[in-house]
Amino acid sequence: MIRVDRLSRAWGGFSLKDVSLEVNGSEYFVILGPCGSGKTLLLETIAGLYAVKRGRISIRERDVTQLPPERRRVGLVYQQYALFPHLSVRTNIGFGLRYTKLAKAEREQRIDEMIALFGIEDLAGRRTPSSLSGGEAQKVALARALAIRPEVLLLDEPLSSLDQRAREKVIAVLPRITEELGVPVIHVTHHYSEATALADRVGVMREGRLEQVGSVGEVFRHPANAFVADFLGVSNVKQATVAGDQVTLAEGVVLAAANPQGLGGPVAFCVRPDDILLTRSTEDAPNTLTGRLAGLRDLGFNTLLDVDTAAGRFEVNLPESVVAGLRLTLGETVRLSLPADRLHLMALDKDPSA
Amino acid sequence: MAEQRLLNRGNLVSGGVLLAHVAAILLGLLDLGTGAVLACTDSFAVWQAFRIREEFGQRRQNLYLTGFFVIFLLFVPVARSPLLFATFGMLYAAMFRTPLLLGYLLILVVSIVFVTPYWIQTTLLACLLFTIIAPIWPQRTKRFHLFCLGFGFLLIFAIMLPLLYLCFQVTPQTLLNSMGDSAFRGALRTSLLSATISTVVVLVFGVPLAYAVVRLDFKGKGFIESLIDLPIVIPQSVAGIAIMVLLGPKTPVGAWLDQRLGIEVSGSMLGIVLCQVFVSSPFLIRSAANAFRDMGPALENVSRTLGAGPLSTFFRVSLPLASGGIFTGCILCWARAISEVGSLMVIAYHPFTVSVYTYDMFVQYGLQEARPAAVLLVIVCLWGFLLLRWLQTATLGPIFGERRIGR
Repeated sequence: MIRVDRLSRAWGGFSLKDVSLEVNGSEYFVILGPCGSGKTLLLETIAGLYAVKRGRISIRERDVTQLPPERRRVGLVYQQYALFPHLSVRTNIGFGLRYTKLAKAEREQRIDEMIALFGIEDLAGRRTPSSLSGGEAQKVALARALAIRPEVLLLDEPLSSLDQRAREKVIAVLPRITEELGVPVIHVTHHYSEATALADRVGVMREGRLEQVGSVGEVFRHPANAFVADFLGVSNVKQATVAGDQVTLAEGVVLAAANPQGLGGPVAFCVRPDDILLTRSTEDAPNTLTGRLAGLRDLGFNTLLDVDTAAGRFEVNLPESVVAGLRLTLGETVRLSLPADRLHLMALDKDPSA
Repeated sequence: MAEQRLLNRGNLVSGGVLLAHVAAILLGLLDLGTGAVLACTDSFAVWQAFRIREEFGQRRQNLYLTGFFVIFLLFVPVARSPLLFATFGMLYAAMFRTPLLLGYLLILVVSIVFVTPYWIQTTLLACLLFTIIAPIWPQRTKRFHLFCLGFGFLLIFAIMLPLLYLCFQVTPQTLLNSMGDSAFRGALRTSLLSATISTVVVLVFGVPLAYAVVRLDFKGKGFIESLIDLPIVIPQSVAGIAIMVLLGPKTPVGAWLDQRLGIEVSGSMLGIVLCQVFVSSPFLIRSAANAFRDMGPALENVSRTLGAGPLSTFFRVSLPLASGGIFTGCILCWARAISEVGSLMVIAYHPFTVSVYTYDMFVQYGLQEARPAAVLLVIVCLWGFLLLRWLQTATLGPIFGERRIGR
């Protein structure tokens, strides 16, 4: 278990502000954030590479805030693998074992164990890591970090420089292995698809602050604010006014929406593009909007439709086959149906820059 | 195939040319020796002309014939030397189909005709440039880079021409004589020894300094970096005077060292090493700092999290990975120490280093006597430099070819 308590630290022009998080057991925790939001600095601070004055970091009830990295028992893996280019693949994996109490024979056994765990037997004989492909190198880096049985595994965009195939392979083995070894993982990335594929829980970070922490479903369905919604691909974010369960998007445009938080007054309103249904019916039904089809964007298996309504532009994501069946033409009038339970209301973002 | 027939047009025409020359000899227009040589040359040239047309077409043949005619004009009517014409004509005809050889030949001819006293050196350098350019020239996209190379090569020309010319001024015999001279050998020993000691001293203190400056961020870092580079901009004589003012025999510190510890700075090995350390340290420190900077902090961070302390990380990760750059720094530092002369003349004229010895020979006996020593110094420096370079690629090359890792 790792726990970060109200951690704050400033670098030249950047700071971490009051970051708290807790990862238990062999939980897989993904921190999402745009570039420059401080994800890497947070990981490196947890690893002990920067001194901390405010806040507390503890691993398995052990306060490590003031310990140097070599005594924290954390595994750190970078986007660019950071394999030692002057050492063989085996020596890379066994690098940290020299500093453990293991005897020589046990170390060799541990290396073999890691190699078997990641299924990289064919790479073990390589004299230098320079000939490894991205996916192979990242597996070796993961094996090296896990060989010392760290108490937490810190992954800094571990999949970002891999091609799609290699990424899928790593995604297929990684959670199984950390589960098996019982290591909690903190994985930072800016691809929300990695979070949906890997995470038990996610956190969204902006400018050194954790904006929201929760389970995948919670965060993706009910983003805490417009920034989180936008970053997670919930593209239809609008300003609205709410009274009870009646949301006024624009003059005369009123929808019914679930309002479990009991918000009132000006709010932000969002709906995922794939939660909106599209019909041709001209009949006025509750929770529908009429609009003009302004654009069709081909996404391969899906099509993204831009629809201009009285409440602004909405994006609608439909399967390509559905769109082909409807034979839509640009400029025609369509009707959008927004199910009340899929509409999400958020308190207005305090940050004016968003 | 046309060219395989014995009686094709090329053979017929060149046979005709041969017969015409024989006729000219018989008629007494040419003397026998010259006539025979010219007959062979011309008929060979004509025969080549036909082969060139078959292979490359009419335009190339015209070019070839024009070139041949120019050589004829250059050597027969102008230089009045039919034998030289025969030699170069024959070479020209034989090499026309191999552009590289033809280029060398043209360079040789131009050098001999236009810069007669320096033709060997000019030819060597121009051929070197031509060897680089010729294979790349057909790639049109690289033309501008080649132009830059040719333009910049003027600088290498300016550096190498005097050195090469100097080396061609001495005979192996005078070199051997100077080599046998005990004064020279003593000076050489002093130079090699002092430069090596200086390099070791700079290595021991400079590498940690470089590492610290790269890995630390502090106020005034730029200032410290300029202090490290300071010896590059300070004139050597000033460096010598500065050390002399601090540690010379008549200064308090110098006198104290001399009387209490029996250490003399001026006119001793210690003085030489001090001067060399002073002037050569920036080269090693810069080189080492660049190596540490290129490596980036990611590898060290990973090593730390794997349980290695800062010292262990330095020796297991940072130092091995920077060793290529540090080695390069050592070579530069050593070479700079060997070549130091200005400050040594102020502090430690004796014992002679090779550089001071050469200067001393020049001052006392003039250019003639200094020449062999100077050439030997060039040879020693060059050998040392090449040997170390070779050692570097042989031992560190394959692993440290690509050093950029990490973020």
